[in-house]
Amino acid sequence: MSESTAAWRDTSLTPRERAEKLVEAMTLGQKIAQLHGAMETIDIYALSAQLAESGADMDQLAAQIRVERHVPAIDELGIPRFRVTNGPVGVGMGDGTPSPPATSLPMTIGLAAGFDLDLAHAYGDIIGSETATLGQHVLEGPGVCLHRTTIAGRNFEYFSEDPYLSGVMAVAVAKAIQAHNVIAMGKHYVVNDQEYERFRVSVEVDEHVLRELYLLPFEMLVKDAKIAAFMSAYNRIRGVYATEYRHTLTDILRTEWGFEGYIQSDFWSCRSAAPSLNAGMDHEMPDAKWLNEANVRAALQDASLEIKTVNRALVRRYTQMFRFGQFDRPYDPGEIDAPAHGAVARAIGSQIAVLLKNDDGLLPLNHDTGSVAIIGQSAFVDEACLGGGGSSKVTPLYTVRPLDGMQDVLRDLDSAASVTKVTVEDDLSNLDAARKAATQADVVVLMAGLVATEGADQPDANMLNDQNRMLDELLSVNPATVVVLKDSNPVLMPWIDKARAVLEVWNQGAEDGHVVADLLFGVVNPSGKVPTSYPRSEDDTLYAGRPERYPGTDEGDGYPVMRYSEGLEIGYRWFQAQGIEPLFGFGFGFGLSYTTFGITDVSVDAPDGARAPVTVTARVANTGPVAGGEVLQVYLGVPVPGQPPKRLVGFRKTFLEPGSRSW
Amino acid sequence: MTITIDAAATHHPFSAWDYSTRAFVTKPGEYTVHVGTSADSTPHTATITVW
Repeated sequence: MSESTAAWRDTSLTPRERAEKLVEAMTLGQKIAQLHGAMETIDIYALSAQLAESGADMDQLAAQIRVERHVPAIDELGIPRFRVTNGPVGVGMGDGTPSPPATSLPMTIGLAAGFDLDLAHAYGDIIGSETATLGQHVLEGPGVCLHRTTIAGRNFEYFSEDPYLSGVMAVAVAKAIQAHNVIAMGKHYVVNDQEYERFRVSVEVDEHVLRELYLLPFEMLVKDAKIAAFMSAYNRIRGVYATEYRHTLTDILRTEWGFEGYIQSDFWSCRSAAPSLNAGMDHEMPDAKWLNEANVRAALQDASLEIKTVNRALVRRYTQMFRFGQFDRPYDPGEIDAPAHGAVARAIGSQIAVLLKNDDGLLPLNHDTGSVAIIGQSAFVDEACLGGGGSSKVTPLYTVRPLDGMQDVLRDLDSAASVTKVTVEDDLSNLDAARKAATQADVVVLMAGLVATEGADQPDANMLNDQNRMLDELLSVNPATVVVLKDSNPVLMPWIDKARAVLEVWNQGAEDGHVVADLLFGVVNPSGKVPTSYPRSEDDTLYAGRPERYPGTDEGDGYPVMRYSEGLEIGYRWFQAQGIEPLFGFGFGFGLSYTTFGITDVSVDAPDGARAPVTVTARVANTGPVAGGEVLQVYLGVPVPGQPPKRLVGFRKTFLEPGSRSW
Repeated sequence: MTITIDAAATHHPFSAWDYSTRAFVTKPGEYTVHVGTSADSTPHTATITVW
């Protein structure tokens, strides 16, 4: 067939029509070759188990195996090599060896703390732009599973404990990615809210809980972002693998919500050939363990699979590729504008920090000081804290270390202050040296935190390497001491009463050094809000003493079953329904500022009950000394049995100069 | 500043899942609107009657 007469090249046809014509022209062999990625099949389950036994983590696993992320081209049909890049915290592992570097952004949990759709758009814009620049077609993000617990290893890739905050922020990210003609892929569909035994575990969840909490952000991505793809999860749902569960993959997603995109497996989450395709999974990655020639031909032969189902899977994916012009665009990778994108990362990073505590206005620090001592363990003081481990890790274009970043910011402020750093050994063996440095400095910045990782949950909600003891001992040395937390997840703070000021900056990515100094010295006023409540103690959590909720129990099938029997009570819904106070007495949505705000003239206008849009108006005034941002939040109490006291239904961030007020 | 809560929005702000109709349904009753700066700090409230 000549190029000029091939019907699918006709750009006047709709993307779906072009996709259908293309699939009509394909041989069965070509079709099967396009159902899956091109990596050689390995035994990932055995490898993961071996590594877990030896105490190694996902990063070491990734180093051992060379993951390939593409579907080969078919030149005679004009099908390009399909290039699939991981997200969701920047352009992660992509199609290429080595994987190309990209802007290392703050983690998704931090973005959620911004409570700002403009920030979410800027975040997605960087990711989409860089995916396109690197010539890739798919960005595997955003991640919208929920923070059901604060120990889940992949929470840093997800937004929040609240489904509306997660959904509305993810919609902004996905739209911004797709504006660059890149396929955004929401993940991990669905209830992959824990990493523990993720290849085996089964989640039991009531339908109303599934709909009102865990499916809600996915529904918003379909309806509000017109997202092109989803990734199906590793886990089982009600005893059936997510990749084979027709209820979520087809009945809800397509029949009820009208999703027109395609579903890719998570890497090695495909567990069968015919059952997966029949349920509605369309694309196996990264290999052809299941959707290979032998299996697909055998299933067609024994009638457990119809050719229409094979065609359907391909049409769905090609429709999205045509929609974004990916057949018509030659592969032409370019160069990322590292300084410009880094400046955006710095701006985003400084807007997402949450000021948790600030007694006597200790922060911001006066840059006209003599000496500053940065003290903490290596992961938090020596290098930029890039973020969680696993497949989402971005190879950074550059990084800003804490010491260098602080010196840059102080220089820009014409400060003569000297900055020193003491790296505390992970076994705390040099705590005396840290204590001495803290005594001698005018100001002490203690940096601590947690870097979580895909593939494993945390054993508990504490920071590692005895950092609680490190903080406890160093907090009583010098009264001018502030704590900077760099976390993937909310952590426990048994030392909190000794701390005068605590700033949560999350895992920041490349601009860590600048962002933290910008905030500490008041170049930027913190305006982030808690996206997931900090428990005071693990005894206060929904899983305390409830192994059937987490980590699950063997109910007779051999694999662990996690029962979401807490129902709608997760996050602040749990704390409020149970009458338990989270840490600080202020959980979800809380965050201080270097200024103060007053909220007045609140009115609620409901002209026709809930049948017409309800308008909430309020006046927010900056009543303090410096410019700052505040987030007005609206919650609703729904009079239905079993509903928690409040659900977030709207929010809006506003930035105000001192003495000014919003209209 | 203004925040609009639309019952028809994709996040079903006024609704709960109804097992008999297999759909999100807004039930009659008194809904409480809480306005503030965190989930635990909502000093301003109002009631909306849905019938």
